[in-house]
Amino acid sequence: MTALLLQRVLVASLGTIAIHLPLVPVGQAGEGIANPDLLFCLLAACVLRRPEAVPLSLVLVLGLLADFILGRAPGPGALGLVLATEHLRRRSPGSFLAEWLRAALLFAAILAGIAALLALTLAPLPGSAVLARYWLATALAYPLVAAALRFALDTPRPGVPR
Amino acid sequence: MAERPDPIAELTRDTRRLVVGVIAVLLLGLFFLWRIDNTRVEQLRMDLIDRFVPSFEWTVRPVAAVARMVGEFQSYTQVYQQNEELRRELQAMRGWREAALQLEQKNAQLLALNNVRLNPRLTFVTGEVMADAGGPFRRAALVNIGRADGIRDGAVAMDGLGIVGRIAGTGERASRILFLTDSSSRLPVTVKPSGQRAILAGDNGPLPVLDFLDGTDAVRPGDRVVSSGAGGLFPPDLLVGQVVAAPDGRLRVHPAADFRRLHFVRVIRPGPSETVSGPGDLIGALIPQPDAAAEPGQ
Repeated sequence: MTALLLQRVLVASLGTIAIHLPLVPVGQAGEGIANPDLLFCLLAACVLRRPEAVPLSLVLVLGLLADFILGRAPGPGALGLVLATEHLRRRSPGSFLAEWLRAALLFAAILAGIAALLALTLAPLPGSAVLARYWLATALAYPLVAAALRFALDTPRPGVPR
Repeated sequence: MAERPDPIAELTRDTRRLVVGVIAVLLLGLFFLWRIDNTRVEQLRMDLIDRFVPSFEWTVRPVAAVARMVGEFQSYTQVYQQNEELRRELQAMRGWREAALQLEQKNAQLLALNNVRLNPRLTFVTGEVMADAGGPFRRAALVNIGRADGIRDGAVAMDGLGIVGRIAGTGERASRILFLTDSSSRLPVTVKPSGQRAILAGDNGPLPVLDFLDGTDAVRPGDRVVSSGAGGLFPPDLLVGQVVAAPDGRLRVHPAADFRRLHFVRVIRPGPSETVSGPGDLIGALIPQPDAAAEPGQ
């Protein structure tokens, strides 16, 4: 019980760090490489490894916080995270390659959903090249986050029965 | 052996679906509220940022310092070339400084001769960029000055040289700068020396577009672009950047502000602007009533 609480606190603090890392003013405002969505990587990797450590309420709070603080449209990002984690929660993780592919596809679906919602409500929309770069950066960051999570938390590899 | 459906597990799964559905509806509601009543939700956003971001500054600052050190270490490798370049530039600048001094003296003499009354000096507050709130959907930054420092929505933010953007959202101790390059940024500008008016429209790329420019013939790449002051939101004649011809055939502006090394930002505090009220007295006093005018004749 205490271990579970500890894991949740750990996920929550890692999530807060993931929200605040893109805020670091190293000044690459728009040009060059895009910042990956670390929060998505973190929550997706965690929910596949320790679903009980990532409760729905935590996903909701972190998603809303990210939407508000990172200056995005409030709502759709959090909704995408909630739906993605609920989808992944019911999956048994296969090989890492399959897991990576699934996470990348899910993130593409989230981006497409947000873009569709913004377009539907006539909100200003980023160009497709920008979104593609964002998606690519996130997809490339996913294995790194998963590896860091494995070394940091000593979580079992996906596929190993818990 | 066939697996019997566990009624309790089924019930919890259904409850979970219901909860997720309710959350989805609420989040969509929040999104539509943001689209409908933008200012109130944005104020909520600024309050949240006001509460959370300054308390995380101590974590953000060391990381930013390390990142800057890495960047500066890379530049050590080119120190020799940079030194040579700086010497050359310094030589050129000495010449310009002399010219500027002479011009300033001449200008002062002419002003004294003409008895010109200039606009009051703009006052400004300088803040430090606290966080880079950009992303694929927004080009913005957070600075550590807010309403407590007299910052208001719409105030213009500059780095040492050119316009960075405008204040969009103020908290008590933090405010958000919407960059020129953001896709919702529109800024009335004048192209010098032809003096043509245009609207500078951001598109989330590094080079914002010159829009609504009538007659592109007089505008050449390399022309200076300054704020025009139309609409009264920005003071006129603040440097924005230089015209460049983009590969897509449109005229764009290369901002003079260095968005990549944005550290300190100067926010111009709009002074109490004098407003002209009333129609003025040029017309003269009211026309006397017809019966009052007719009286002396009787």
